Amino acid sequence: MSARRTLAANAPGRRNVWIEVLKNKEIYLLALPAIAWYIVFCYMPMGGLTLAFKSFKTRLGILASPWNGTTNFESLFRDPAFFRSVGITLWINFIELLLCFPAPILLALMLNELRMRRYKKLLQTVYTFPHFLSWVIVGSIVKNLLSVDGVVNGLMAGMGLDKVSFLGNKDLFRPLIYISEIWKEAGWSSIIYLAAISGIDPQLYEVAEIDGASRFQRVVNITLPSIFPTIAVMLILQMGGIMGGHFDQIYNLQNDVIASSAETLNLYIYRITFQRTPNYGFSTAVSLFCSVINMVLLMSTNKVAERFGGTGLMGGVK
Amino acid sequence: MQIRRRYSRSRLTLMDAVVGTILTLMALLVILPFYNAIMISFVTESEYFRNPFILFPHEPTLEAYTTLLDTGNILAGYGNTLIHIAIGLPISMFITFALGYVLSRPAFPGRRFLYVFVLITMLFSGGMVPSFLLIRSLDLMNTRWSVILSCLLSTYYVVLVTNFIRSLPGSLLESARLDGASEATILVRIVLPLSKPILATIALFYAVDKWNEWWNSMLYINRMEMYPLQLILQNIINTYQSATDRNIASADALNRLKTFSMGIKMAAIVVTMLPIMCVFPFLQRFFVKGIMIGAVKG
Repeated sequence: MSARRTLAANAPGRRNVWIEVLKNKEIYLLALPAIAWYIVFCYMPMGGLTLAFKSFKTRLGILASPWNGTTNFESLFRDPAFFRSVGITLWINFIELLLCFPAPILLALMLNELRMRRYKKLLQTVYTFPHFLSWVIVGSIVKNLLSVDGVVNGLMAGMGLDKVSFLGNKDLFRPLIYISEIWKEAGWSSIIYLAAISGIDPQLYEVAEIDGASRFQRVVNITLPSIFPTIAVMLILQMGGIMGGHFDQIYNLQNDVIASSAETLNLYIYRITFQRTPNYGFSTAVSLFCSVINMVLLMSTNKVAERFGGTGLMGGVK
Repeated sequence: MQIRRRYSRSRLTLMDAVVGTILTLMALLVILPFYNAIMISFVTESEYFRNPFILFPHEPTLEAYTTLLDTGNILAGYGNTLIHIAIGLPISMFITFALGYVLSRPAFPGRRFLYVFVLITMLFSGGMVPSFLLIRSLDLMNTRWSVILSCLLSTYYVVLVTNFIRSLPGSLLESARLDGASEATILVRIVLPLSKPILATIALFYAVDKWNEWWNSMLYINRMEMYPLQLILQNIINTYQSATDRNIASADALNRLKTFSMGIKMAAIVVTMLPIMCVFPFLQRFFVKGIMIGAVKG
């Protein structure tokens, strides 16, 4: 490895690059299938985003369809349904950041304080299980529990309360989104934090104990600050999804009654693409708009995190 | 380690009690909905309406399952999903591992470019419409390949493989290279045998993803007999979804007229999650290991 590197460094010039390329031809061959896949199934659709500035004609295809400048975006900014779904998406994601984001951190802190190791493993298995089921399944289970003749209403009737139509009530649907999100994903997300916790130097705890810190103080003053870089990275990633997310979940939980009040951007794009006379250029404009905002937010939170001394995202990837 | 011993020697405190209780209650909150769904799939309609909270069925019946098998396309769904996995998984594994290995090599011209080329796809994608039009223009609509190819690669898993191979002792690979072994030989004879843990993890991740896949199938396949299991399940749920949650008064009357839809729905759910349920407790450590590699190494 080092021999190769010094060779490349000591012998500049274009010819040597080609010698290196030739020497590594097997490497390129190995990467070829993946590269081909990325080009066709990732980069070609990215090129297809030009559709946002075109009016799509099925006969002509994406490339040959005529450009129409910013017409799609102009009609986008005139569509009240678009602004409503922007508002809904931002609001849901904001509350999610407040409620669902801390949940796995709390869970990890609690699991870490549990002394019975066997039991801890068992609990972890239970908590992570729902993550591996699709929202089709989880959505159906939630619907079953909360339906008018379901378990929750049954228990409430047992306590002498009136039946509540949980799924048909606009005010109750959003809390349902947060709760089911925590129920499904908190256990899985907590693993990352538990991994970070297991990397903390045990001496810190010992010294703190000698100094007379209580267990709770040790959690707050040692464990929590030590996993802060991990929390920061997760937060940055979360910011990169502020204009999206929740499609699977809401699609599988919703019904006609509450549909309009829970139409996030993804569902809005889906609806205008497949449930009306489609205007592909317009739909693409919406999704391009969301992607760009997500990118900008991801990059800027990453910058902020790096400035404040965190490693940021690239510290995690490279 | 030391901390653990120290903790367990000291006496139980209030904190232990509180934490233990909360965690146990939460585990029950996770388990009970599944338990309830399974129980409902085994009872008769009258028993369900007497009390939907079924701890143990008094008159267990397989009626829901026989109805499900008779009416639904559940077996076809099973078949389609298994075909997607049988074809897709080996290809996914090969391509992912090959790329992961390439990205772990320290120096070759274009390595940085390749890295960025791959990682950009984690940040940015064409989205639904361009992908849909791409599949249509490739003439893949209503074919299995539309689904298999669309979810062939996951960049995140590529990164996991790369991180893992990088953590292997580099001297081993280097000495093989000095002995004149080709990249393919090194990959197959040295890297592959050492990579069994990550291979198991990635294979499981891919298998679960493919098992749960419904979005691409919904977009690209319109023929019922080609639906994967998840879409069949979704169909069953939607078909049997009554007016229940929209109008309470009429719903109660309606519910008594129909066949026991709740039982059939729950049976469909049980059948769909059964494989994951059976396998998961034994393989959970592989999944956890996978995410640890990605999170800690970095």
